[in-house]
Amino acid sequence: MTQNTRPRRTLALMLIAMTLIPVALFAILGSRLIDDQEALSRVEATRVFDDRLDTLESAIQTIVRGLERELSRYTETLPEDAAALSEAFRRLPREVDALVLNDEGKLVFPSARGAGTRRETALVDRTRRFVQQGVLGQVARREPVAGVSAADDRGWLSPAIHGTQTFFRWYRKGLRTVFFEIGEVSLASELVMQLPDTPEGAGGDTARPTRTMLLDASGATLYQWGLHEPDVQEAPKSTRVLVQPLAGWRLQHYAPESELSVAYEGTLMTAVWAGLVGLAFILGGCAWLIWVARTREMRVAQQRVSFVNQVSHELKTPLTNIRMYADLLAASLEDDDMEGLGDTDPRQRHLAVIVRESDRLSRLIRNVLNFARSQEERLKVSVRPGRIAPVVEGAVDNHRESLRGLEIAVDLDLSHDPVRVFDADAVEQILGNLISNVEKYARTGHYLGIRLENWPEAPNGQGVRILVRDRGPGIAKEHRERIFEPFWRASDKLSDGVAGTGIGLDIARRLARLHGGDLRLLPSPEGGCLFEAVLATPPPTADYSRKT
Amino acid sequence: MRVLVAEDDNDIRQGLREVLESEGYEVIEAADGVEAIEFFNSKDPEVALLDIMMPGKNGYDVCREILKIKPALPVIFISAKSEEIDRVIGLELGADDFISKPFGVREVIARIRAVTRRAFLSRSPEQRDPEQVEMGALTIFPQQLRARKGEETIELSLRDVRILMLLLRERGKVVTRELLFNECWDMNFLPNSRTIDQHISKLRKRVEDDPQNPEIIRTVHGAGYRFE
Repeated sequence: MTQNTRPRRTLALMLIAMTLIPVALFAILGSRLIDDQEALSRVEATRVFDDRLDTLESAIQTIVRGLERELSRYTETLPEDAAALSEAFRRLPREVDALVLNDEGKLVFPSARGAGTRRETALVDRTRRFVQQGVLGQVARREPVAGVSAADDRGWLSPAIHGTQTFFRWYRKGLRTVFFEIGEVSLASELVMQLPDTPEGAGGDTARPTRTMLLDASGATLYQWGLHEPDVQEAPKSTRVLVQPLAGWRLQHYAPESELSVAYEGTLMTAVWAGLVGLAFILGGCAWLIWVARTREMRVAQQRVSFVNQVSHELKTPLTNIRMYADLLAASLEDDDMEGLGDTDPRQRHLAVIVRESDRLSRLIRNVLNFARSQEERLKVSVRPGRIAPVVEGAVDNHRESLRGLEIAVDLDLSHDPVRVFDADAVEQILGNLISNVEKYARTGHYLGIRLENWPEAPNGQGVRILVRDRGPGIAKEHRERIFEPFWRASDKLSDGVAGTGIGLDIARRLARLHGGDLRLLPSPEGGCLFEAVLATPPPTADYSRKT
Repeated sequence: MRVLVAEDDNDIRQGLREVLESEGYEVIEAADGVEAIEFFNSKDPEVALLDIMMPGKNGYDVCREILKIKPALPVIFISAKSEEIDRVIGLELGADDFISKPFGVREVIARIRAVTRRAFLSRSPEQRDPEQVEMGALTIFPQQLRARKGEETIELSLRDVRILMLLLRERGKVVTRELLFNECWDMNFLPNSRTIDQHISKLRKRVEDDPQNPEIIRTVHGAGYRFE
């Protein structure tokens, strides 16, 4: 049935949204977390690379400081005599070339005239342009030179000789200045001895393919180590520019992208995915349970409604046939009434019983179905404009035959008969139940009085009061409210064997209350029962302009 | 006037056929919603009586579909479903009335006559009967299915109106039973002369001052009836 489809579809969409939205949010947040972790791990990795280069730089500086100290010690024992200097330098533990200039910047050792060993001569030739007027001479004469102050008594100079950077470590000794020449290759070799020459991580650490390079000031690679082969376009992950005397030299560290992730990133991804799948399962499971429970509720509710509708349909269909064919038979008998018997024809009386009892059965079914609906709070009133008096007369007419049979005199005062907006079916049901009760419980009074009045206490002062009186035995005071309870029956002998379901007054009161009023049993000093049904019945407005 | 009756219960459907044919309607029967649509399209009824709980398509769906094609078609729902929401749905869909089961024949007749008056308005002017005609002391309002005799208002069936309009049209002439049969009874409903006479007798009881000495519908023995 289509009437159940829309709520189920709405529920399904809601549950799908309830499942997918949190999972999607979790996925977005998880993705961001992974991105953030990746960024953090990159930063961390870069920091690690920086630390490595710091360590290397520190090691290089240690080597340089060591060299400085060694050369400094050499200057402490150098003779004054130029001739003795050659021998002294040859005896040094380190094979090193040296120049000695006086405070005028003139070469004291080796001899400027070329007298000396071939090596010394070559040194003089190499450094000729740096000596007298060059930077070495300037330092010896304490003239201002970039990076060297007149007060300094030691330092480094690194001019380029034939395109190759050469390092001079100089020391002042009295009026002389000693310049130790250290070639770039020689210095590089010194450093390389201390730098790693195996792939990183070998021997204990997990092998991690990286590459570290030592470059000189011109960018030429002096030394490199590591398993990683960087592409031409690959930028170093970390760079460290060295300080004096190796200014312009730099250390560069290369690593593939995979090295930038940390070990736990894979774990994080797994955790996020596991969380996502877990959340989806949990939410999906909850949604499924809610769906099952809710659709079961809807199905049960639908079955209840269907049951009521089905019972209604199953009972009313044969009743319709009974009533309709009784009417057709009555009309046919009327047509065939050759003897002019009219209503005295026993067949007409038989048919009248069939019609009357089918009406009674119809009212019973309506009561039971209304009761079922009232239990599910589905009982409603549907108001239209009309006059109440004809409805009261109709309700009495439905019982006319049975009232006549029980010799119950009917006294109607329907002079108050305004046009009002009300539910005619509800009024007919209320009266039908009250009249039925008179037939069942008050027949011995042989009286039924119905009166229509205005109900001034109604909301906006617009209401009707229907009074139904009998002259039966009445109802004990302690039972006055109990009679409105469903299924309750007075337990005195009078009710023994009396037919009925015990829900008539409950239904009648519910209908009266749905109508903005009530149904009450009023005190009746003169005996019998006096029921008061009050209903809020506003006058018709312009909206209710159609004919009743 | 053709009336589509869509009802899955055979007995109710046959009962309604009898009631409506006795009123003078031509009845088109449909046993379910699918048949109802099919016969609506092929036979072009002027009024529809629809049960709600039917196999195939339910009455609401049938109403929706047929009113899309013929929005002015009078529709009456007949149903065991009698909750307020059922009525509201039916009326919101465009139905004119809602009859709850079980119903009596009189209730059906009253409701069908009410929507017939509406159906007349949907006919083109040349197809409509005049608004008012006089037959002796009787004033007939054919489109309202009513007559007035003095202060008394008389409800008429469709067949009653047809019979009176035929007599008026053939004023002064004998209207044979055969002519009455051809003009006022449907081809699928073959009355015998007794049926015609019974109907005339019942009509006289309502429109004549003295049914035993009729002034409007006079008997021409052996021939038929005549209005002078």
